[in-house]
Amino acid sequence: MKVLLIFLILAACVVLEAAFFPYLPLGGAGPSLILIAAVLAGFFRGHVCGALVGLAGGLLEDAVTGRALGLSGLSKMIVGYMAGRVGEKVFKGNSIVPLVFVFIGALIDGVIYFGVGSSFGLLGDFLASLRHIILPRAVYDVLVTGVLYRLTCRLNRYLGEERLPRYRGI
Amino acid sequence: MRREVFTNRKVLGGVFVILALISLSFVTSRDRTRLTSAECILRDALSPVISFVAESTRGCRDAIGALLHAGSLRAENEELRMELARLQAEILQLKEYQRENERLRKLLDFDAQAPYKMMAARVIGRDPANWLSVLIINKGKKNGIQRNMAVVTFEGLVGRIISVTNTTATVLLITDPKSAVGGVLDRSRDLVLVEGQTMDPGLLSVKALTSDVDIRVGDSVISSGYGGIFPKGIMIGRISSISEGKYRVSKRAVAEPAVDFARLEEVLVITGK
Repeated sequence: MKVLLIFLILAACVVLEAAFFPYLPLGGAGPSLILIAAVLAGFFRGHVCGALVGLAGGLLEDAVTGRALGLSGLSKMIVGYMAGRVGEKVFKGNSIVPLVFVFIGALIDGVIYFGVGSSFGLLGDFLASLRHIILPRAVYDVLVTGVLYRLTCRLNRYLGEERLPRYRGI
Repeated sequence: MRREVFTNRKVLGGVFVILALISLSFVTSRDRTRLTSAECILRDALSPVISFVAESTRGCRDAIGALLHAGSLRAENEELRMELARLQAEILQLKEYQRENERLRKLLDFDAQAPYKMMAARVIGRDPANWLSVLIINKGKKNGIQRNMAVVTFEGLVGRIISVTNTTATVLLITDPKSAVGGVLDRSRDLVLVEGQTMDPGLLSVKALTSDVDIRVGDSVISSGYGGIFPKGIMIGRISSISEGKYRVSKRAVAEPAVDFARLEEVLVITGK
């Protein structure tokens, strides 16, 4: 049930990314709700959950709006995993911390996406991408996280304290 | 010992997933003739929702957009009024040219150029981060849309269809670095190659095919019709700057596309002659 709820939330994020936010760009780029979901999932619920949310959401994003299946899945899975790993070592009481996580996560996501995408000939100039996509999107992601933060905290409480999913040995 | 085995398995599992994703994205980043079944199913399933959200939030988006850009909208409105007046004068002149052209065509016994068969489609989605210059439209296989069909608006050339599902199609915009269109300079009739560029996304790179090309700022670039995908005579853009090539034997120019891709909501797909 919880897995279905998470999938529906990710699908809603992809729909909003494709149909709503491109018409309200900030510096030419829209936010990545999937990235925000992956970072916050990792931050609140651990690295496995962060990586799985990033992977599932990223693949969904690739399938619906992307050109190369797996590119966004890869970058967001890594960012979700890293957010979980680093999140285990920081104090979660301060609401600024997740915003910093999202900002840094968006930068890392952009660098990974560009690195892999350009090696396949999909993307070109790094500095232009940094100026026109990676930085504006990171700022937009932080703004959206600021607006949605309380909602995600409530959702996290609704999903329960226990980290999901939990596997033997992980 | 047991812990070490688990750690090794975790590392191996992680490396395997990463390699699998890299391989998958490498294979699917090629110029594919068809999408995977998973992509088709997901796109077809989500396209009505995306379409509904795009339609139902239009008012909300416009209101937020108007609030954010109130100052620039006023200036733009004034600019558009002046442009409208200029265009009205131009239309009158063009109508006169059209009548003259028709008379000359009849005289020379030329067949009037047959209009293309076009199908209107609505833009229902975009690449959210702007990484890839693609659009998703609400017409697909069941409407007769096929790969490599040209997509236009009344302003000019938009791009070509690169993948199709039953109810949607993906359009690669001419501003994408992987896109190349054969063009001709309207004034001098010199041939050029128009490509998307990475340095300044949203603008077009215009490469002259010969060293003695006569190109000036303000020149219009239209499609040449060579290559078989884009029909001849469709407006691509206007030259905004020119520079010498590396060894001063060729010229490179930058063009501003005729189409405002940021505000594109409806397009026309050329389905045949």
